[in-house]
Amino acid sequence: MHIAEGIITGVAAFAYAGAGAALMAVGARGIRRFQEEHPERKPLIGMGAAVIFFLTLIPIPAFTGTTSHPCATPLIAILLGPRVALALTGVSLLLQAALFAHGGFSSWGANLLALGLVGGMSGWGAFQFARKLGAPIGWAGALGGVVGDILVYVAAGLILALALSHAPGAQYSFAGYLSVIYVAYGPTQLPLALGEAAITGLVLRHVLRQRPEVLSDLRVWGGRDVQST
Amino acid sequence: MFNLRKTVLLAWVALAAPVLAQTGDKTPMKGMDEAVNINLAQQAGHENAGKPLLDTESLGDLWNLLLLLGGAVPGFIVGRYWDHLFGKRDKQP
Repeated sequence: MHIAEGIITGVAAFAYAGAGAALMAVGARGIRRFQEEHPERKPLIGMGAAVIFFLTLIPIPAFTGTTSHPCATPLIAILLGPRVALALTGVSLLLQAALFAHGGFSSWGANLLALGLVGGMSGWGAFQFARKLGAPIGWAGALGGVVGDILVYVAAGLILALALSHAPGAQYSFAGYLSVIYVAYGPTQLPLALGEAAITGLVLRHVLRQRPEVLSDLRVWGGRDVQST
Repeated sequence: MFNLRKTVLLAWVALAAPVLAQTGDKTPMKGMDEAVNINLAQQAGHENAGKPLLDTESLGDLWNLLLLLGGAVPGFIVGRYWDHLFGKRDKQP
């Protein structure tokens, strides 16, 4: 679920775009550093971009008669780092706005803030927290997936409620809009968040089994942790 | 036996199907952006909410081409570099 074109307007759109551009600069430096440190792993950047682009485009049906999509940024942030995920998300959002009218140019910065920054950082942070506690990689990845997914929608709801409460024909206060939005998001997004948790955990566990040296090299799950699943 | 590569390939096809079957307003399954965000924004006075700057959906069959490419290109990229994450371990000399 991206915030569509025409919802964030005027000064707010420019402010979010400026914030998005600053985040892209941070992300670009992250990609450059990744390429310098792991020149043989460059293809993973393309793979990460493809995964974010595709997974945030697919409408998955929910019980409520609506559709939504996974975030994918927690998984990519865990694997490649939150800054790389940030830049890949920004590019994906631009392509989706240009080619599929998914999201929008005026809401690009806001979507990057929610999906790229909040989703990537919170997913990566939750994974690192679980890792420090000694959780197996599958469970640590699942925690990263579910936390990242839910917080993306928490952030999107906050941005949307802020925009709508200042709209010319606002019908609720900020808190009122926030309640309405979260009640509407919940039934669709919570099952998807659980699915994202399962996929993130399973993918990381499988990579550890097949290519532990990759996770060690990327400092995702290195040293003594390589032996434990 | 569980084969991750086949499972992901099947999941990819299954997940791409709803994208390819998407038919704008005629679909009964609306996205949350349309059902919640755009709906609330229009009620709040943003009449142009949801109207894209670049309306590729109005391009007829070219829209289908874009949707197919949107699924195919990421699929080819992930397939091309699959081994970098999911392949067998490097053989030690």
